[in-house]
Amino acid sequence: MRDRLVATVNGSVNCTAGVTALKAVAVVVACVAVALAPTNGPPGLAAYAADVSVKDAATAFFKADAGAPVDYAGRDLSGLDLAGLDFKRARLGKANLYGSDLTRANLSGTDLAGAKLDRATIIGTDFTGADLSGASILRPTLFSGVEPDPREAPRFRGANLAGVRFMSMRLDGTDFRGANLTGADLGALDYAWGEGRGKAQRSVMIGCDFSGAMMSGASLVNGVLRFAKFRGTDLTGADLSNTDLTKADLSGANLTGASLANANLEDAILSGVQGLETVQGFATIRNIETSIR
Amino acid sequence: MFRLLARLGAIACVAGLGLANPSPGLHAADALPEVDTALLLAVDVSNSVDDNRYRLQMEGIAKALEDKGVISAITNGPQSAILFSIMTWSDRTETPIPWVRIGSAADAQAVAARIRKLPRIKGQFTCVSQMLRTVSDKVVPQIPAKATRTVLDVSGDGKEDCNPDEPPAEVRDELVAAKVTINGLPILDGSEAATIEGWYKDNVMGGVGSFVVAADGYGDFERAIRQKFVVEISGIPSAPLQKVDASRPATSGDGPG
Repeated sequence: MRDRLVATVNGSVNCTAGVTALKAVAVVVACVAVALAPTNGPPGLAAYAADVSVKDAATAFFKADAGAPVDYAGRDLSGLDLAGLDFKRARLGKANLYGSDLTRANLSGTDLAGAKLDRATIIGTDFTGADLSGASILRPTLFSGVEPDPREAPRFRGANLAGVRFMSMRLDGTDFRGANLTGADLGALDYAWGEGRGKAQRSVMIGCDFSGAMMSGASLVNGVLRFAKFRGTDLTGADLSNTDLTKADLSGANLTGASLANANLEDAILSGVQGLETVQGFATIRNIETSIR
Repeated sequence: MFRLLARLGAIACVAGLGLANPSPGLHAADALPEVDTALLLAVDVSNSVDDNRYRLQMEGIAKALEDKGVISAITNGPQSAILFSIMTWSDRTETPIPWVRIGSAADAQAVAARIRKLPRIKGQFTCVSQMLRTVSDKVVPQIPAKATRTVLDVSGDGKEDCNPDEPPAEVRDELVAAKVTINGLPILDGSEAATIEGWYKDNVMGGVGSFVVAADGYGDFERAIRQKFVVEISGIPSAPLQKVDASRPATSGDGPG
């Protein structure tokens, strides 16, 4: 018990410090209160605080129809196993889905504006036409194995991802066709602290399809975009500096005012590209002589 | 202690709902006509289940659905139809055959054909508790028709090895409280062959009329699943099945239906 008291309150109440008699009583009461408080989940794991149960959510989605979607706006669904569920265009604006499992869930047409999906599992998740404007998707899990399988990639076709922060190690094969990625940040993971501090991390987006997407002002800094498709994509003012665009297809894309400083355009398709002469860092682009125009 | 009390409270609530509504979670399920049985097969695809074993299980299920005795059991019920679904489970559950209504031999044959074409689904661990939790939280609340009986048919060749927060028997009891019958088909193969049947009886089996039928290796799976189907669909225990296990305490709700 003594060990538990000391361990439980470590960092908040110093149970071992020398104190006066009155203070000692107060500290002991505090220690006991903390020690006896119910805990959420096993020790050492992040404590989720979902205010909806999986069963309640599944039942609500089942009952819902297109005319009366479930309204979980602002609710806490963190850490829940919601895999495989059909959300039926639910309202999830500003909802907390941190660490939730959305594997192969149908979130098409849902309102996720401003929602938090950090560390969520989104293997094969369908976000087609969803509103994810201003949402945060940091370090999600997209693949079940060590090697990315594009068949497991989530789908964002036609989704509103304006201003989204979507930072992942691997996004290979993800479908962003026709999506609104205006001002979105799909760039490098930012290690300001903790493990990996100071290391350069690159988002890998091999084979992603951004065709027809609106990506004005978006950041893809340091991204590995080999074989990615940007056919007819609006990339005006986008930051593509230090990207690897080897064999990428940019035919018909609008690059007016974009930054391509130090980008690698080896064998990239640039036919019909607009505004190439206006890009920033043009002189530093690598292998542009091998590109197809 | 706090979690235990909370869980007991939840079970009590579920039990209460079950009394008020004999078909839990079905009050909103008006999409399909009523059926006699909602039969969910939970098929083990953990690491011990190789390609050949996976095929033996799926072929066994397909043949059982085509069996004349099984089709007769389906079509001779009061509603002349069942709901049928297959879930695969290991460290993750998947539903390769979502709920489908079977009301004729042609329906059964069509489902059997789908089962034979299913690509193999692979998993690693034997997460019985997690599978039961998924059924309780996500499958039962979404059954798309009113059913006289809801039966979960669990097959596998191993015991729980996922170190779950909830013991399998605890989640099993929650399902039983929700009027779900859970039958077991342990496959006596591998290192746990000698003890797996007893473990299924203690940790998986539960509910009204529940039973365990062991398959003597994967080669015997087809016989065992066919035998189970007839009983599960008709709701009438056959003589050979009654002797498999009639010893479980009444507290788990099982016994001849």
